[in-house]
Amino acid sequence: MTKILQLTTYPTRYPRHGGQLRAHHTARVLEESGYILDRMPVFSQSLYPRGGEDPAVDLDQARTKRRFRDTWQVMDLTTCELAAVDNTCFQKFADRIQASDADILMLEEPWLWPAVWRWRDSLSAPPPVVYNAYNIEYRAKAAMLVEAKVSGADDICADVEALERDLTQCAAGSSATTAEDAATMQAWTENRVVVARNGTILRKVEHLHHILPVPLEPCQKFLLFVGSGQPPNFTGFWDMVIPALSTLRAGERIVVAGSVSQLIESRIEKDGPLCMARDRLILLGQVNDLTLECLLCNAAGILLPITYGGGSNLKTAEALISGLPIVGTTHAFRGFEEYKSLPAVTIEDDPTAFAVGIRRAFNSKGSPRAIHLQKQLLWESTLQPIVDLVSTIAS
Amino acid sequence: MKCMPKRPRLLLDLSTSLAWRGKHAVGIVRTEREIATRLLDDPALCVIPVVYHDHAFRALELEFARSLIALVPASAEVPLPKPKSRIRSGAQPIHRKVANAIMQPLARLITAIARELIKSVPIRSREEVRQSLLHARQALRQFSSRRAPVLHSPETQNLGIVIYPQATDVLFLCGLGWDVIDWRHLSSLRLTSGLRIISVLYDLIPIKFPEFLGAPGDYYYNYFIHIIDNCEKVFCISKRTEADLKEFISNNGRSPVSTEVIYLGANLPAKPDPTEIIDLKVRERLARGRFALAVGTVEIRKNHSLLIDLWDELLADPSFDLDLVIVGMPGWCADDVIARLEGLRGFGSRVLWFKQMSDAGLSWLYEQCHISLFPSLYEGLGLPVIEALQHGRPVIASNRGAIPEAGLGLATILDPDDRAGWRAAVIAASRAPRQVVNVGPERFPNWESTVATIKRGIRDVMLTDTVA
Repeated sequence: MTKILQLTTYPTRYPRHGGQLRAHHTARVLEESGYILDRMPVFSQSLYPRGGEDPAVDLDQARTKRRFRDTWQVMDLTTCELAAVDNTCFQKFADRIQASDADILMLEEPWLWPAVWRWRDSLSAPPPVVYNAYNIEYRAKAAMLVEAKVSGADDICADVEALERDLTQCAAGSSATTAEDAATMQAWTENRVVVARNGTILRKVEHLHHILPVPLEPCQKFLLFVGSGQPPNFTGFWDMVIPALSTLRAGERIVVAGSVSQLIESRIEKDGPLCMARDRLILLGQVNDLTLECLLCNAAGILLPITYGGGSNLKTAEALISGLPIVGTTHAFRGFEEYKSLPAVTIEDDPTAFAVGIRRAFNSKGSPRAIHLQKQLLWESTLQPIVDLVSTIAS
Repeated sequence: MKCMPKRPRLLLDLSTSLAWRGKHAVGIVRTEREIATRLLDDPALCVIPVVYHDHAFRALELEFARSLIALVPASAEVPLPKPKSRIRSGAQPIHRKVANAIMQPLARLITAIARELIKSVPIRSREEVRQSLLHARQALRQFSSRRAPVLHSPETQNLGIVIYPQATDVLFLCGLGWDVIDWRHLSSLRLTSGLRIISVLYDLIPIKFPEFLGAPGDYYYNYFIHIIDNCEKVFCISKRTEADLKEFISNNGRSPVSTEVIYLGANLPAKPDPTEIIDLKVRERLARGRFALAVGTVEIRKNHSLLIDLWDELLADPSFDLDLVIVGMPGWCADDVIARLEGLRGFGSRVLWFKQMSDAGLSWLYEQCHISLFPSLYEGLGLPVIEALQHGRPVIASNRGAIPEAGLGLATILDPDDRAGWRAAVIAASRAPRQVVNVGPERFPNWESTVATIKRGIRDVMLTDTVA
């Protein structure tokens, strides 16, 4: 049986954020397809205190030596490259890979490529590498760095692009989450690049009717936005949803779940519509699975307001499978273009039109998705191209 | 597309388990855990674990709920602190002595102050104050056990999800309902939502024998009235309790309530294990099997006085070689009994008191004992009688309350006022060779059959028409 060593830059057994979810389900789907999965998370333990598993290599000690220490936007790049340049870390890294004796190395995101490259360089017949890209990273970083007005952004982005190009070129096969990203990567390599968009799981939530996190009440109708603390989530919400707060009627609320809440709260306190937000916006912060399921069961609709950022939006699959009315942007539907015309899906890229969409969602009922549509959105379907790619490489 | 529940939901109340989390569970706490464990994962029921907290029922994540009802310490496999079985007279580490010397009086003082505080509050606000103090106690326990309530921690979130019940929902209560739930609020919730309530009733001792309890005024009376006014169905843990309930209903001019008898499971979920009896000399002595075992909270009603009197007399006879082993936490209003017990000649050598004991340790004591004694003045059931019989040990038990039911026709039943009878029976037992009560397991109630009955009852209620 083929053994795959999956390298991630976070713990994946109990996934919370998008990257963790994708890596978790990639491993699961490959295992269910008959492969042996050896998970090798390399990260700073202090960043995931409740990650539920220890890192194979802990980068905590070395983290103080990273480049661009004030630029958190590229912490994944600058921390993970320490696994290659810090000899103590690298030795642990190399020992762990060696001990795995895997047939295929699978890199989730490109950040550990320098360490993998150094290890492979010492071998005469290294195992093939499969690269799972979640983004065209240099573009995503550029957008974030420009927004944050970071000096030297061009140099950093050039480093990221070089890393991605090199990895894509060296990999026996790669996957991207959108056709557009796949086209970019295909231009860098002659090897196969497949599209495996983000998926979701089917949640059973109907029994959670009228079970609500404080301070929501059953008399309130709400639209839900779920997002991590990534800048595109914040910017999209701020630009598209905050201006629409005044259109909400009595008893209508916008509910935000996820760590983007903290960013929104800070900004509102600084220069936001304080009273409007107090009476119409509910920021829940990070929530557990049960809370999320309660929200999905009781929401009147889902908001997908992101206006930039790479890859396909993981939340889009989750929103689509729920059957709830959706108000989203064209960008949020990257990778899910064929679903834009579904009933109760509104796509608007202008804040004023988005506000109209929000009103429509409040007045709409949504409808259960057809079974075949649901199946298409599950990880088992969306990740099948990666299974096929691995199968080809393994044979 | 807003979701609507397709089938009735069972709101499984774990408030008692939350209040007792991480603690050695006995009696009703243990019962709640045993029943909840068997209900929680039943796919035939749509179960939502809940706790009553801050004037609302809160939904719990499944994993959190499981952690609350984990039956600890069932075996040494679970990495938990060592069970703290202590022989009262044995040497304690200095730090524990100091901690006990400070904390126990302090806890008693705080309890006394809290009770006085409640009394000083106008009656209409007393329940709110009592509930507030309970929440404060819960918060303090979390703090002291270093489970600081961090913002957005899973624990905070677990108590942050409120259930607004539907008419199709059924709430199942089998814990310390009088202690952890505000029934005035629950009653309103039932009337406004149509929620149906099923409860387990353990006994009506506070009504029948108020002198056994130090409870203030009409505290329990009010609780039992709420039970009969609000419950769709009441599971009674014995025929005696069921009869007591019917008498109470009749005495209070209420309409009959649907009742059903369930016998609590007697199967201890652990293999016998003596290792928590740390003193090897004590363990070896007990392993000889020459002791009488009395299991139950040390309080007036359990009638330890009778045993203390008997052993005071019997130990004067050098030929009487049966030790007395008491297992049970100190209960309420038991200071006099405890003082007498600790002052008894032979206390610490011929008379031993284990204040806490795991299931494994208790099972070992049942196996080793020569005889089990249960002289209680009244019981809703008398589980230790069944447990002892299940371990094949002969039992001498009281004829009060439901105890003869627990004796299953196998125990020797005596009037607890018949001191001479008890004395004679104990002496006879001590002189007789070791006996084994040899009956098949089908004679004893077990948790599986108990919960199967409960499930049938729950489904019956779910199938009845809802009142909007």
